[in-house]
Amino acid sequence: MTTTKSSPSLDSPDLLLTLLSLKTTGDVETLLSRLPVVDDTAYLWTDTDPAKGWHAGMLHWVPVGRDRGNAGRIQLAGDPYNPSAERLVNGMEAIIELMRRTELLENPEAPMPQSPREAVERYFRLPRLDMIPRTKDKEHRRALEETLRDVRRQLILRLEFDKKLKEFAVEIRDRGIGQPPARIHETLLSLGRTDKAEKPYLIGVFGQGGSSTYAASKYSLVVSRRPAQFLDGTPDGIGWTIVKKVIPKGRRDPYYAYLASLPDGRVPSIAIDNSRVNEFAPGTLFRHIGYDFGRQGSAVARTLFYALNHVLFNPVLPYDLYALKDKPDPMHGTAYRLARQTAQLASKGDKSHLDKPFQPQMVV
Amino acid sequence: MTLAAQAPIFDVGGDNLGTIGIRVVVLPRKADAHDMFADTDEPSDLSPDELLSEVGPSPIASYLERPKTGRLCCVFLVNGQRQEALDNAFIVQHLGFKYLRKRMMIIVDVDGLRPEYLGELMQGSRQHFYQGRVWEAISSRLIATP
Repeated sequence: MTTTKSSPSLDSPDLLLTLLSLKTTGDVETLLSRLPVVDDTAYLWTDTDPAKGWHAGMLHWVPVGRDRGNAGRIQLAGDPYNPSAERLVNGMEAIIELMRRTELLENPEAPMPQSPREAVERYFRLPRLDMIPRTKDKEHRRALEETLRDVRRQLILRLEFDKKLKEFAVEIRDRGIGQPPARIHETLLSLGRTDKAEKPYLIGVFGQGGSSTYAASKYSLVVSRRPAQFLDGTPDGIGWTIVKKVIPKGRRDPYYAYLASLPDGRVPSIAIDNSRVNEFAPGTLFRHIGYDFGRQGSAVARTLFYALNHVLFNPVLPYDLYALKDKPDPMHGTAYRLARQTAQLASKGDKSHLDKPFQPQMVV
Repeated sequence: MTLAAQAPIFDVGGDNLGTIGIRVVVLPRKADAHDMFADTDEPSDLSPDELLSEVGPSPIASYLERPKTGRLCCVFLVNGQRQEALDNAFIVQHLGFKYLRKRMMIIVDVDGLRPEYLGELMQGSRQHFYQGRVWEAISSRLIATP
């Protein structure tokens, strides 16, 4: 069993700041060496008896989704860009869900939006984003652009690169509904267990798309906090964990595991009376450390801009991209960028371009 | 603009899979664009705080996934997210627009498909549609659209 050099308390006031400062694999490994963590070879989780071999007060590696065969459902992406896009979509859903829950607090009878687009129009007064550059009325367009700017700040993707270690970190931070610590293992760390299908205003279906980021990273830090008014009777606090790939010795079935504090899979948490708690506003942070883009340097930042705009071609919500710089690129999708281009061409009297929508076409 | 004006029609009745929305964008040739904007290789809509584009071989280069090598100019979207994409061979071989292949983008919104058919298309990887009967029906509809 690997434990502790100085064994800091899991509820130490500075633990949150330490977690939020993790940027490289070295940072994570240093922290893991100081925390009371049972080695992944000393505890093997089983669904029939997860408490067997558990050491109370210690952290243990538990399979994501509490499924030892999870690699097949996590290693799904064929390139490094799609997983980040999936995480952004998760963030958009968390923001929409927060608005829906807020609406229900004020009016429990409020009808459910029937699509993500309807939810965004209702809660943010935003149309489909590619319609904004096509809005003829200048005042209205300006107002929509201002709304876009405000909404973008609620969802951020930040790319960082450690030149010395040649390591990327990709952080996706949303100011959405977040999760209470007691539910993180059933939600953010679940696979294929989702209530999204009952909520037509959300986007995902399979409940596992964002998990593909684990496969692209050496370690993933997960931190989440739910606004106090939406705790649904669960204890307040900031839940956190770290995800890594485990390759059991002598076997060829790797799996992805996270640090759990209890055999039922619950993650460690930082109590709400912790003096540092306000360093983390409600919402969720995923920081994927040692992210494998296949290449290095500023070319990755450039490709990320184009690739994300292409994958999230006409996203339901905008977001900000900080790609190796302190100033964000506003991200509205390629459909918006094309619409802006054609609107400019039209305003200059160009006759050689075309921007033609067709009536909905029936498919038989 | 109202949502109703943007939304695809879901219930079209009869024995069909639902509807798809199509938008076609053709940009001016590079020389034309340069005449218009007296600009360099950057797209004219580049905002001051946006990343500089790479030099691309066509007017749509900076709207592709990878400006230098990307050719995914026909995209299929679910809730605005690209779930499938084709390169310009589709424009040449199936639509017959050989001379527009470097200037044309086709955006197909499949949110109007009935949920059960959309479910047949979607894959766990979220990177491609299942190339079965629903895909064939969508492709045929796209090719036949005048």
